[in-house]
Amino acid sequence: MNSVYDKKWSIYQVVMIIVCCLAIVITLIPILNIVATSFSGKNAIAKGIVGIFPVEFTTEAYEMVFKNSGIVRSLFYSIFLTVGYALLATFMTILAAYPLSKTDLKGRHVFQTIITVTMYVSAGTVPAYLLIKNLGLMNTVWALVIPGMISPFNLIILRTFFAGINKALYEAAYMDGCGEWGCLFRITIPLSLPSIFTIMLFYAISRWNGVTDVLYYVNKPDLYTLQYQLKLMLDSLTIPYKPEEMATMQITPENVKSSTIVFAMVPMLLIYPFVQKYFTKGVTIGGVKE
Amino acid sequence: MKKHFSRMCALAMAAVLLLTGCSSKTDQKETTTAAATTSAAAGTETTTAQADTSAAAKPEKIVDINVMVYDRGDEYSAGNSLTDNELTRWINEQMEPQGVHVNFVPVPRSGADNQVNLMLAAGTAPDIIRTYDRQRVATYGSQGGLVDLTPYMDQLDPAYLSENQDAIGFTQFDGKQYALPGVYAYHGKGHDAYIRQDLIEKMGMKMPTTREELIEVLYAMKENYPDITPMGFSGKITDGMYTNFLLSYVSRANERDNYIYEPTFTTVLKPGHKEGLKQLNQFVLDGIISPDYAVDTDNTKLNQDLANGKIGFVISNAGGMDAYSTVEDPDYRMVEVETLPNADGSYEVPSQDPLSHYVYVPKTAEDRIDAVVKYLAWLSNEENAMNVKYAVIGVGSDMVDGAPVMKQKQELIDMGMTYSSNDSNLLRANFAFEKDLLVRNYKAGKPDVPEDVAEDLIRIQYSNYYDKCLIPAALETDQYVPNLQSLICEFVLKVMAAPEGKFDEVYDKEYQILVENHLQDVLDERAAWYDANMK
Repeated sequence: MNSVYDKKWSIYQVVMIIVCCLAIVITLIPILNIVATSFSGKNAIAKGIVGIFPVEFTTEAYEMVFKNSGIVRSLFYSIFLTVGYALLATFMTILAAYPLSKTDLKGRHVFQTIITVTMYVSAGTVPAYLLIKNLGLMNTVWALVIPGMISPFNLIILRTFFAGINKALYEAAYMDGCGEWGCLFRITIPLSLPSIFTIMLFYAISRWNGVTDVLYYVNKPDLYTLQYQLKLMLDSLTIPYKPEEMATMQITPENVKSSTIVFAMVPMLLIYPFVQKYFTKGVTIGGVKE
Repeated sequence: MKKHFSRMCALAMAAVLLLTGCSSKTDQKETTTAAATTSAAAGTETTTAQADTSAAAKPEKIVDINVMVYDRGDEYSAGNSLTDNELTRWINEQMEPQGVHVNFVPVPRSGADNQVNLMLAAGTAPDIIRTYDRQRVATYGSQGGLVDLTPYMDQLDPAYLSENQDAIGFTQFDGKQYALPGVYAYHGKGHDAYIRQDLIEKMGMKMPTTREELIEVLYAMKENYPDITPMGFSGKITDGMYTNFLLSYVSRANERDNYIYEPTFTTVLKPGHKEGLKQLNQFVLDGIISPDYAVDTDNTKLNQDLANGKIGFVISNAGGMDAYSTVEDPDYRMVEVETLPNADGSYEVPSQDPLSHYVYVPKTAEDRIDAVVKYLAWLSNEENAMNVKYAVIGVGSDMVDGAPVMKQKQELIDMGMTYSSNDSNLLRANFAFEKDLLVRNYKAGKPDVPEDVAEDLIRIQYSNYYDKCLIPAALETDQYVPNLQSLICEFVLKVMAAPEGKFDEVYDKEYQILVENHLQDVLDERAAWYDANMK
């Protein structure tokens, strides 16, 4: 039997491969430029001659980043926060999605409608800020965890997936005396691992990249996440400072800025290949119907 | 069993709704507002222990106050942070005997005003806040959100009051002292012009002293040095690059016009500005200014060209001075120049405003105003301000020839000190020795700039300037000004880019956009204020 790879490529396939390669190059060039800038000298950066290879090679910027105790502390804190948040949020989403996937749940549509509405309507910045303040969550790690613990979007994805599991499996389990908790842990979760890992990845990425809530609810430097530290550092270069400030401030050099971006990017780049297989499965598996 | 489970699920769902209600909003918003207050209870009073003899010197009560400090993502050594470092501890050592404990509240430098705005709305704002936005102080004050500091002025340092009367006048609105001025270390020109002296000499021309001579030089540069852009320009939304050029077409003789136009960016719309715009448009058409200037929206290209020595003349961008360390041409000589006299024949250009920033106290701090004023009074003292600015003399800085010199950044970090100490120096930076050290300080930051170039630059920067006529009142149309400022920048950039023969058409169309955004209302209200108060 001939493999698909033995067939002659059609023009369509060739064009698609070229387009995809171009897309990859377009995506990679800015990343390579950031990496090259992080290893380049200040004068070369100022003259704009750094492309995708370092000019006047130096590791000075990385030495500065690793010496910055705040950045290193934020890295470990962000990893802890991201892992903890992803696990907790995924667990809570499973607990919410499971009953909603049951057609015999009373008031299911009411709950679903109310949950869906929160995707489109929010109270606004000041009420949210006041809520967090009045709940006593300001300047605590919980301000970064509890408000985002269940994302309606992820909940709907998971609920839809749970609802697709063959009911006969549950009926057999009930017949054998299995309760709802048993069904959840012995049938639903094992059968839904790709989707659950996908949701977990969504949560992890949103927490890793999130800065808005840190900006709003945290002003203790010990609780700054890595991305927030990065934002403060980048802002120190890009906003128009007043002459008085320019006289006294010490600007973060462009190569240190780039090395910090690389520093913040690497953990996700390392994790992604390991969960990517689940991610692809989770996204595509719902597309096939028996 | 199933019924029981359904009830449990319903209860669980109710809990879930609470959580989802919270989560959806964090996904959606991305503004530059917000944040929190310090965990230290604002204004709480704690009684200090009086167990030992040394405690007898301490006051009975210490009042906590919260003071805003810019967060720039600075680096600190282990055990130190922006809110707890050698400087903050030193400040509290000074203040606690006076019964005040200062908690520092970090606010990100970028978007600081918006974040403070949210904190004010939530009633969690710091007790002492700084801003560069005059309009903001006027608006908060007129809405009753700020403490009128008039009754407390006599508690401030007498020298601070007497030396900065003009600046203090600018922080009064409708007769009320809604803020205190943070005074500049140096008071000088708002924008400077730089030109390539070496190219002019090579062309056998003399340094231009008038606009006409400058134009002649720029066209000669275009002809003789095709790889150099005669006038550097970018599409960044800011007033720096064009203001002094356009002001060379207008007069300051009419005081009423000064009060109408000089507050904010409207200054470039004074009668006569159209001719200046027409000249800038001609520059673009003739390639004196790069026709691609508008796409360089963040100065990247302009800064690179300056660093490579490819710009002949530029206003309000000191990149040409930094280029002494990057340009390979040994003859390279970029110098500051006065070449744009205004319609009155004077080289005077607008200064930085008479003050650097505004320091205000929100109404929420009224119950601890005595402690707040004590801290402001302490900061207004020259010696204290100097210690704060220079990270405590003898610790973060050393006295050299009668003036403090900050230690190197890494040394400051290692000792647990902040290197942005001037951010906590809220009120005064105009120490007597600063002016004598301008050249030395400039050279310290730019060691490759020749001594004579640095000396000329300092001489020009700190002479021939005037303070713009600002209106000491909160006007109703002030609300339109922030938007108008951006629109005025866009107006100039678009009119400059008008195609050949279409200048008037583009000008009229773009000016109409300003009018639609209340330009005329703003100008009319200022005129009415002048007629009512100054005539």
